[in-house]
Amino acid sequence: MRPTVKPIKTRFLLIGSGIAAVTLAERLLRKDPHTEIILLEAGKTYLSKDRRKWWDYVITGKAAYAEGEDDPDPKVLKRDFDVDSNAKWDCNNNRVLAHGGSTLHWGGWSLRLKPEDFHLFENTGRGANWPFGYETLNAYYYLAEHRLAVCGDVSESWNHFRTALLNPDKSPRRAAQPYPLPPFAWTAADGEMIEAFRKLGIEPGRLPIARYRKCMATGTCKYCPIGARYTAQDALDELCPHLLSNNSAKPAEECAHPYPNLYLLTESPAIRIVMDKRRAIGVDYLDAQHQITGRIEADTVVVCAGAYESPKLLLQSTSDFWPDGVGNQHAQVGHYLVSHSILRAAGETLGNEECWIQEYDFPTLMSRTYDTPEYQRHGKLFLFKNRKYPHLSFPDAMIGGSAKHRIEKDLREKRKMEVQAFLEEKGKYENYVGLGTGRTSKLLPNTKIVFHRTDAETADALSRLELLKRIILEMKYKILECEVDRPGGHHATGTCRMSVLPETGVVDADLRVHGADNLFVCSNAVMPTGAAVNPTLTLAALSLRLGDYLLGQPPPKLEELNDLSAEVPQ
Amino acid sequence: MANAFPDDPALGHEKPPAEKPLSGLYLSEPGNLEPAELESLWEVFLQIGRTWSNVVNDSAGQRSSWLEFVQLRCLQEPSYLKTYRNALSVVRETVDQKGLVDAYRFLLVNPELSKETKEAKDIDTALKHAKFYVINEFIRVQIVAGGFRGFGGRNHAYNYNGFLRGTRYNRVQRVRTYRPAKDGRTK
Repeated sequence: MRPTVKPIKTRFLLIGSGIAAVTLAERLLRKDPHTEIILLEAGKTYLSKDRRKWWDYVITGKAAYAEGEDDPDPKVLKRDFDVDSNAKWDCNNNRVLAHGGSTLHWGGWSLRLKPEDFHLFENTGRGANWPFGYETLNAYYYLAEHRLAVCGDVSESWNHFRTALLNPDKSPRRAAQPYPLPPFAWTAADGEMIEAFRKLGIEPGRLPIARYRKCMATGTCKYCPIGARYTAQDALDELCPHLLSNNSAKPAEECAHPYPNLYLLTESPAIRIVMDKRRAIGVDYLDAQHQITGRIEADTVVVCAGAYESPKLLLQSTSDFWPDGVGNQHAQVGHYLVSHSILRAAGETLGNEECWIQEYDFPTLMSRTYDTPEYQRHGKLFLFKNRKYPHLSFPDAMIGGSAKHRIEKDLREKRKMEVQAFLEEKGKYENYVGLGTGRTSKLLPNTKIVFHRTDAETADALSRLELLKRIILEMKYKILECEVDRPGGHHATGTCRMSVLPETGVVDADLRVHGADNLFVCSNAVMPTGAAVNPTLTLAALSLRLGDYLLGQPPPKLEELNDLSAEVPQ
Repeated sequence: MANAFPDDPALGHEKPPAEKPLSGLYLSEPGNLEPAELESLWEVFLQIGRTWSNVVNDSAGQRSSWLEFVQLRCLQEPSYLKTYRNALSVVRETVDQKGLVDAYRFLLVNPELSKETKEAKDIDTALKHAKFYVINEFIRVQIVAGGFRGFGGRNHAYNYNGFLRGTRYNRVQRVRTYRPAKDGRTK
């Protein structure tokens, strides 16, 4: 690689183009459309909302962006990841390296953390506290739910605390902080599990899920033909950035560029944050297409590169002042990797006269009954029904040569159901993401992952399986399988965690890297706890909050957020 | 056309009508099929509904989805133009050899042929190519374009992965929803 001659300059350089970077960019541009922003993305652009790509997905199950996911070939994974894990850490299909990041394949599950999640150490003596409480994010959660168009049910008991925080005089919560869209209904196939939940004292709920009003429930959510689910790619394309790369779904000249100083550079992995002691000057990157290295100089640098790449970039950025990597003066970068343990219990019953098959590509039934402070010590549970079951593939049966009467018989013969749960884990110093040896095919440094579960954690997980088994047995199903799945990076957090003191984390409460003046991290990596639910909504809220901080704006006042219906994408 | 469904289990043991080593799609520049070719290909699609009796009006409700599918596959890279022409040739040859009913039994509901065409790496003849890349794909299109409703009788599903129903913004329930019965059982 040869160096470029002329560095580019900007006010804000955001490394990544997933939900964190795009939400932050939107927030910054909202105040001043002329704000100078460059998003630097390692991955490519893959066409969205393309009918041919959609049909390809329907036929083959392979989405247009599959190339941007970590290669499922075990040989490639072994080359790209160096894993030391007694729990068999799963590297496959965890994330998407692409314009739009992992929102290209996310399910849209949009759950808030709960107040106790911000006080994990205080409540249990394990893990970490956040440097602020739930109330600091409350208004941003509300904004994020509207931006993502979350369809949810405010009447569920676990939402009541939101009312109290927002406006103690008003109840129920829906009067004060409604979800922007109503929830998706429980499906008929949810019924048996709903009733089993109730018999066991578990409150059934409807999964808050991000879907625009135009959703037609095609069941191909991983590649929506009409863009009815938030992706950071579509959100960024709507801002019409100037493109610094010729690999793009949307030629620049087709855009009116309402934000004249917004730029996107794809296929350009950042290789180093250039520091002048405490001050970030900019970022060096590889331009794979043109076989050159480049530099972007910026007043403010924000690393929005996920729980793997964010710490790796800090670790790569060594200098005399930062000999162990930026922000790593106390050997905190990359540590406290947290994942969800995924528990599952599947059962089967003879007979399916109702001919139930799963008709959505997302779950509608969930419960947060075990996602409460009293379960924090041994790990809170977020329960949900596996969206895949009951299942019978008609095309597979037909292609296999089955006659109609045979398919009908198979359909009515039996059905399978599965209940799953995310189990909260606590960050431990020894669980770690770092730099492996060599580079991946996408020119990023290989990833080293060390992740071990203790015997006590394994015992906690196994004991929780008993609850899942009880649910299946209450449905009068025979248990087929019951296990703790491999952990993986889907919901990884903690690797650049927030802390009050630099000795116990990487960034402060404002997401600024400890010891740096103008370098920030905005990613799942900053979350000190993973709680029991998906982190994406929380990341969107954190991104909005960072935007306000960078602009010197005060947080929004809750009473000003009464009606955001006009903000909900259609 | 009579339902091609067999009570005769001895199907598909004959030698394929064409032998030609292949790997992946036939490469071709994007382009349009001739109208007659398109109609012949539609005839192949029609046979799916006739064979499984899972659609009404002789697949008329699936025509627009199928047409979009075929046209996109012809006009965009990687183009299926030659792949479709190969399939037409295979179908024509098979019909010539076996007659219409037996030809479609052979192509659609032949467990042996299905076993031999499970994955792309298995494809080494023009026949298998036509089965894997055209007939099997048409079956998937037929199901997501509404054919799924032909299974389950009155209890058929309302929705299926890939099914695009109606217009945007409609308020009609798209799936069978949970309704507790008075006696406590799920309906």
